[in-house]
Amino acid sequence: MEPVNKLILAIIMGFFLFYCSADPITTYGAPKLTIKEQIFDFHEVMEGQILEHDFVIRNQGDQPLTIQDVKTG
Amino acid sequence: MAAYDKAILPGGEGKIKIQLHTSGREGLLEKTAEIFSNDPNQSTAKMTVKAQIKPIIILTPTHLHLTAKKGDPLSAEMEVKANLDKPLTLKPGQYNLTERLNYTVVEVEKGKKFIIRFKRTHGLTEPLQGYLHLKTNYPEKPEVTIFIQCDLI
Repeated sequence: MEPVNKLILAIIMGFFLFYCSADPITTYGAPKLTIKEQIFDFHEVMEGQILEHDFVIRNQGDQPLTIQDVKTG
Repeated sequence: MAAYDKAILPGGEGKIKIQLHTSGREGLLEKTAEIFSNDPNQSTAKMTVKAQIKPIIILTPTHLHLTAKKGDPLSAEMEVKANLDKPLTLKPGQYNLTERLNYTVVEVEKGKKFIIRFKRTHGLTEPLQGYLHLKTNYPEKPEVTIFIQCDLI
């Protein structure tokens, strides 16, 4: 193989390897938010109560997860 | 309103507390909360709480909507029924159609069911719109409001 062709092949392979390793989670680490249940149903309740439910969230990443805000509507 | 853990370590768990206020509500009630986080692949996530709300006091119909001919007398009825297993009492509250539309409360089933009779003997010359508040002995529902509308044809 010509030296010029080897150089082009090496550059292409270099780009390919860089692309394959570009996943930020596996390479650099990141938080990963997961929610066990996204909908909770109280079913039938009598009017006049204040109902409360705790949703459990997990961080399955390898960096701290920060909850910046929770907006309700 | 939502209370939540602001930071969760890797492998850890946190909670997001969502409240649902049911006073004065009836039927399906839903509330959705949106979380904003530093997760680079999922910076927002949604969660929903829902409930089917049963009224403490059932109004049938839910409000009074009448149509009458100009000058004709007017009469209508509404049922007020307790949905709790304890006796209900009703007392007059604020009423903004006094002297335009009279009403009487008749207890048809003791502590359980009432009929509100609305009556106007002399003809109506203009449309009516107002409300009747009735005070109850239920701390969970101290007042019921009946909305009244009468259109002329």
